[in-house]
Amino acid sequence: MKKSIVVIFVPLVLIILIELYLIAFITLEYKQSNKDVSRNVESIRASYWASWYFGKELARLESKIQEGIYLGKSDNDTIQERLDFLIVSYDFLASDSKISPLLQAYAVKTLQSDIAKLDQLVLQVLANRESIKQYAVILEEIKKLKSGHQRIVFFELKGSHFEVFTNDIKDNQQSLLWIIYSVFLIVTLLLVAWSITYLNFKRTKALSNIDTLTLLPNRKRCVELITLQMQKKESLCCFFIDLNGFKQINDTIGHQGGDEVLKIIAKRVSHSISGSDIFARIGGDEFILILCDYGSPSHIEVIVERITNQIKLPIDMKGNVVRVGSAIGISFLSDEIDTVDKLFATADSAMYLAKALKEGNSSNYQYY
Amino acid sequence: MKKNNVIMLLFVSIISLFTLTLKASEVTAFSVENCQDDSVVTFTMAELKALHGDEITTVLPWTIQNKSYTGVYLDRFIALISPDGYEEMYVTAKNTYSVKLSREELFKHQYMLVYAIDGHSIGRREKGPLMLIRDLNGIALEDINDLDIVINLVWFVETMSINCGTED
Repeated sequence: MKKSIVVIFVPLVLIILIELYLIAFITLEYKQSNKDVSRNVESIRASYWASWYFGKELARLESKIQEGIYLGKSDNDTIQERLDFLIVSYDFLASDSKISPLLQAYAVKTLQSDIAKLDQLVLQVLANRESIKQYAVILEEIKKLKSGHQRIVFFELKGSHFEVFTNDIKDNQQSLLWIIYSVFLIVTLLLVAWSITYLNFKRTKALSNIDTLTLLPNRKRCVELITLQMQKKESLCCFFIDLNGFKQINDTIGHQGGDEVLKIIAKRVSHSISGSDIFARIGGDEFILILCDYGSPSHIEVIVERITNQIKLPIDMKGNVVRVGSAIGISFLSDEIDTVDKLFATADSAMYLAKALKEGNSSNYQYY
Repeated sequence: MKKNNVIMLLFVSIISLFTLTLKASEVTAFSVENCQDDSVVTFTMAELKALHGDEITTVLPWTIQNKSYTGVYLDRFIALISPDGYEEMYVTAKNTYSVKLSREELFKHQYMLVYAIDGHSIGRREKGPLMLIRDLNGIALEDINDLDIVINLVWFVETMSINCGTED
C-alpha cells in the first residue's frame, strides 16, 4: 500500500513542484517585463523633458543676450549663469542614463560641437572689456543651436527612438509568450506521462486481482474481499463449487471449449447472486461463492438450488450441447471457523463429500 | 578735543561704509519663505555652512559612484520658519524648476540641502551651488532612475516656500 502511494503520488508531487517553480519563473519574468516597459516609458518621458528643458534654457539665454543688446546693458554674470544652466541641461540630455540612447546619440551628433563653440565664445566675449558689442556673435551661435534643437524635437516627434522601445516591448511579450507555451507544454507532457504511468499501474493492479479468463476475482482478491467482510463482523456462508464432468468436456471438445464453458458458468452464477456476494474462480474448475448476510438457512437452500440449476443448464458449443454438474460444499463463519483458510478448508471438505455422491454429471451439495 | 571727535567720526564712517560694502557683497544663496506670516529668512552661503551640517554618503541618479554630500536637513529650515508645520511646501531652483514636497514625503525621506560634495563646494556646472537630495542607499542601482525618485531631486536650489499656495 505504501509502495503504491509512493509510486502514484511522488511523481504527482514532483509535477506540482515543477509547476509551482515554473509559475514563479513566469511571474518573475512577467514582473521584469512590466518593469522594462515602465522603464522605457519613463525614459521617453525623461527624454521629452530633457529636450524641452534644453530648448527652454536656450531661449532664456537668447532672451538675456537680446535684452543686453536692445537695452544696451551688459549683464555678464546672468549670461554666464544662463550659459551654465544651458550646459547642464545639455549634459543631462546627452549623457543621463534615463534618456533614450538613440535620442542621446542624435543630440550629441547635432549639438555637441555647437555647444562647445558657444561655451568658448561666451567665455571670450565676457572676458572682453566691451563685451556687449560682441553679444550679436553669441546670438549667431545660439541660432545654430536652435536649429539643432528643432531637429531634435522633430526626431522625437517622428518617433525614431520609440522604435527601440516598441521592439523591446514586443520582444519581451514574445519571449514571455514562448515561456508560457513551453511551460504549458512541459506541464501537459508531465501530466500525460504521469496519467499513463498511473493508468498502467491501476491496470496492472486490477489484472493482478482478477481471473483473466472469467473476469471474476482470483483467489488472492477473493481472500482480500472475504477478509474485509470478516472485519465488518457479518455472517458469511461459503460455497466451494467444483464442476462435475468438466474434465470430459476438455477431453472431447478441447481446452478452448472448456474455457468457454467456464466463462458461461461464471456469467450464469454471477447473474444468480446479489451484488454484495463474492464470487471468485480459485483455480481449474473450482469456484468460491461467499454469501454475505445470507439470512435464514432456508434461504441458503434456495440459493444453492438456483445456482445448481444454472450450472446444469445445457451449454451450446457450436452445435455440441454439453452439460456439467456441480459438487458444492457449504460452510459458515463461526467461532471455530474464524479464518479464511478454515472457511475454505471446511467448505472444501464438504465439497469432497458432495463429490462422493455424484453419479455422472449430477449436482449435489453438502454442509460442513 | 574737537579734532579728535572729527577723527573718530571719520573712523566710524569709514568702518560703517566698509561693513555696508561687505554686507552688500554677501549674496543670498538660499531663502526660506512662509507666506502665512510673510516671513522670509535668507542665508548667505557662509551662513548656511555655519549651520550644523550633516553628511550623507550615497549614489545619485546622475552620479553612480558613492559620494559624500554635506548640507542641512530640510526639516531644520521648516522648524525655523514654520514650527507648527505646513500645508504645502515648494523647493524652487534658479532655472525655475520647482517641486512640491508633501509632509508624508518629507517624513518618509529625509531631504537635505547640500552645499558640498566630498568636501568641495559645488559649481554651477555641477548642478550647484545648492542641491536638494536624499539618501538613496538601500535602493537598487537599477531603480534609482525611477521618476518618482528623480523628480524630487533639485539642482540649482534657490528658495523654499511654505504655505504659499499651489503652483500646479
